[in-house]
Amino acid sequence: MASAGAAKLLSGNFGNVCRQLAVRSQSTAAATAAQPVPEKRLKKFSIYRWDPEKQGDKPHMQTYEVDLNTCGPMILDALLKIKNEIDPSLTFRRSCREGICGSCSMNIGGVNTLACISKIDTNLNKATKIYPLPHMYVIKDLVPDMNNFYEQYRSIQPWLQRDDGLKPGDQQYLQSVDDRKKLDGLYECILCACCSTSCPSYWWNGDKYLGPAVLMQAYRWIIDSRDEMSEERLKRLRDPFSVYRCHTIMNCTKTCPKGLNPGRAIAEVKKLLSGIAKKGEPGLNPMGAN
Amino acid sequence: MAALLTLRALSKNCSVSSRFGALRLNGLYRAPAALSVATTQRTCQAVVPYQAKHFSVSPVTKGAPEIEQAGHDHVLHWTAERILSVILMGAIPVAAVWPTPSAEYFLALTMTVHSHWGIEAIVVDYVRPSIFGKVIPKLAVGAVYALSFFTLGGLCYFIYTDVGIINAVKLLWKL
Repeated sequence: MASAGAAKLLSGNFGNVCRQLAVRSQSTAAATAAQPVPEKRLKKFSIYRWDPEKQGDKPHMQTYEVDLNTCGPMILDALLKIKNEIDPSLTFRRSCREGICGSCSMNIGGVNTLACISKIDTNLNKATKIYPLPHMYVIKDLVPDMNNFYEQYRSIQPWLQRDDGLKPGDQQYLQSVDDRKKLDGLYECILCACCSTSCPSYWWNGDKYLGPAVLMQAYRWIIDSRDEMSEERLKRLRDPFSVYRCHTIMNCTKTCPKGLNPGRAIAEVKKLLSGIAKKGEPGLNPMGAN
Repeated sequence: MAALLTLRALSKNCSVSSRFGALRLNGLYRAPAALSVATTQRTCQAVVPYQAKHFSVSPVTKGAPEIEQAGHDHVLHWTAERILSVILMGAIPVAAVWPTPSAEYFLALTMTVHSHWGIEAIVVDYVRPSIFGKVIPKLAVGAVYALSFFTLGGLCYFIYTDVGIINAVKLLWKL
């Protein structure tokens, strides 16, 4: 699923890269022609800093100035530029730089999002404030501790479970087109934790409430037509905290950098739990006997 | 997705994972090296190939948080809340048009229960054991029950001895 998304993004990005290269070669040509150097567009970035290694260091904001003329368009470009050229001690997570890995999730200008796919605000009068994901334990600077989040994801057992006793790889399971469509908008989640850490309920009860990202994946496995353990999966969610701390605040849906709707998925889980909705029989027998 | 990839890499490739485990993030945190090797060795014995086993990418390891499954069943509670909300949507206009004592008492009870559940949810959300300890959250929920019973008693007394809820609202509206 990742590769498909990556391929799509790559195909979109390739044109940009070419254009950038073209622009760069043009600008070098211009430099040789000794044209006036364009005025610097200095943009301020105010970034949360905290170093556990430094004795007595308190969390504080540090401001950096970046010339937008020599910087890429995205927040992550600015962060990398700061790390490369101004302050190598600045610490943050990043990997794919195209919104498919979910590493660079952080709070930018008050919104949880991915640094790699959010554009730099070109208003030079305003400093862009960058914090780590809210209400998470900070390891250093913009790096939060994701252990609890990953543990919660583990607790919903996010893999296909069946009773047929087959070993993985023995057989392909069939799925009808309509059943597959139910997974759209769910499987695209990259577990960046932007939604969970935007949820007040998750802030207050993150130890017991699973949070929107994990619950959406729980729903993804509950309604998979090939999975036979929906009842057991639902049974594990019946307590007052796992699901029911969701009060449909909908910050999750508002902030999701991939445009998914975890709030709706949680509502669907609640409907399944109360029996208002049922999972229904698979459109195709996964074993292909029909 | 990053998590998934890391998890797969961990469960499939033991040697790499143990090396990563020992290295940790950036070599700053050396203390749990031996421990992490032990955990990654356990990771290798995965029965289900795609099973996500415990792994750590940070020094702040609080251990596997026990997600409380022992708590009571909350499904009926949620369903009752929805049903009551729907009933109230019809009951309030009906009672406003035909104010009878029985409608008044019904309204007093349903509205009290409705607000009780709402306030209880707020108290459970905010007055939580991780901040207030074991005793205060229980006292707080008890206080919500006390408040709700007091409200119900007060409303019933008001309906019995005075003009009743509906008429009181109408009188207020006239002011």
